[in-house]
Amino acid sequence: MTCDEARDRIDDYVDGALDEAAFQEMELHLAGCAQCRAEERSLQALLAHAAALPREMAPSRDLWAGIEARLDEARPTWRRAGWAGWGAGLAAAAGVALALSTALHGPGPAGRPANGPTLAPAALRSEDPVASAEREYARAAADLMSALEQQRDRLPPETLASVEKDLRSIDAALTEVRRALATDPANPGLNHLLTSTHQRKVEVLQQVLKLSRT
Amino acid sequence: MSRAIIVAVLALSVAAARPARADQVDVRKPAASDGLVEIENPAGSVRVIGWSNAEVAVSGTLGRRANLGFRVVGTRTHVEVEVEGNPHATPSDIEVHVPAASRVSVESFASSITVTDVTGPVTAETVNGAVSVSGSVKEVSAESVNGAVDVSGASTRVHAGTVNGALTVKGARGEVEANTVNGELRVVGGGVFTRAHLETVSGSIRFEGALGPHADLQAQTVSGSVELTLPASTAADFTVNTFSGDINTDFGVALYRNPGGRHSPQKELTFSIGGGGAKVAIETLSGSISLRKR
Repeated sequence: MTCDEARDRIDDYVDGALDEAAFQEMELHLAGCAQCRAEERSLQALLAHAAALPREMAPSRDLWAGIEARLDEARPTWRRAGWAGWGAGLAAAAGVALALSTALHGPGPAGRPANGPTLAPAALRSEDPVASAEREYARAAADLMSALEQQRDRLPPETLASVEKDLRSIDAALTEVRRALATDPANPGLNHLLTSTHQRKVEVLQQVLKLSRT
Repeated sequence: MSRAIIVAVLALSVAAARPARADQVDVRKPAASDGLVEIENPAGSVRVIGWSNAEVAVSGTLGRRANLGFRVVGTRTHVEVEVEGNPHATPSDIEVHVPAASRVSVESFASSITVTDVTGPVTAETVNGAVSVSGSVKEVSAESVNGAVDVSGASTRVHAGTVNGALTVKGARGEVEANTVNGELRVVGGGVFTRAHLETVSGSIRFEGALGPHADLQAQTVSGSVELTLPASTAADFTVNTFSGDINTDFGVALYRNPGGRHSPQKELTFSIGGGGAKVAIETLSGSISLRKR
């Protein structure tokens, strides 16, 4: 097996998706190739990091109805906008863990729910769904930042500086949205902006992580 | 064998195994007319050109300590610049001719990527560098972190994203999904769209195109402005929201609501034109919103 072939299979190897013959061939190669072994260990470390993320569970349709009802009570005159609704953003927030897992593992059959978005337990239990969503996003972003930190030596300094600038820009936007929300906490449009901006931050980190492995 | 011959043989074998400086490459292999062509180049530039030949041809200049991997297995062709040491510090510039109907995937870290005259689906991704896809590519996915993304041609499905840099989709129709953080996002010169989802954080959004009877157009930004230019004959239902920005419309409708109450600067504008049909939703926090007639 050549190093190229090993790199092509390394994701499947760490996911345990190789058949026995391919697995043995990979083991043999790793035993004799320090460079590929280092890459494999680095990937294993990233996966271990991802494994520490919270588990996900399927959302309850009743939950969404409840969240929306609470908003409607707070704002009886509000008519839903054409957006899928900020609830969709909240679902996306809770799906961050899955997205993060995908970013680190690459697409694969393991861990992907059969249908629909996912919601982290904290968001399900919380009295304040927006605060819970923010916490989930913050945790996901922190995990992605940590994973990115492990790849720091693979990234040129100017790229890191640029990514950090982008993240500051997004954080500034989040601050602006939060400030507006403070004056109108039940505003569905603002809540949607908040969650989708959080989602954008996570997507940026995912994208950099994914491409930095190129 | 004399000592001189041994030395000469050793020198030749070392030279063959490891090029000491930038190398020119010019190689080609037969390939399926509609197969998959995967191209990877860590740094430098990649130019992909569709042609009518049933073969993939790679030419260009490889950086120091770089080699070209070039394999064809069935309908899959893999072209990869392989570098010893830090791949991002070894730029290679390659030009790849592919059968026009190929499915093309280009991955890079610090390369500019240009794709022209390919008609099959194209995926192009880089971290540092611009991405440009032009021609009659039906499906395009183009992403960069630091660099402009430019998709031009009669594409019917476009997914494009960049973080830092302008994003332009020109001449497309059908479906477009585009997002930036800071850069300006423009969808211009388009045909009839069935779905357009446009999102930025602080960049402005500009859309010019027509909407199908049940189209779904969404534009969202936190602090950027939004400008939609639509045909006067558009049939659509609008929901326009901004927390502290302004709303201007050429469509003769100015029935604002303020769902936030009299102490809130929020503006919401809902209306239908042409009997309704397509759904248009625009949302900003502080950016202004303009609806223009074409």
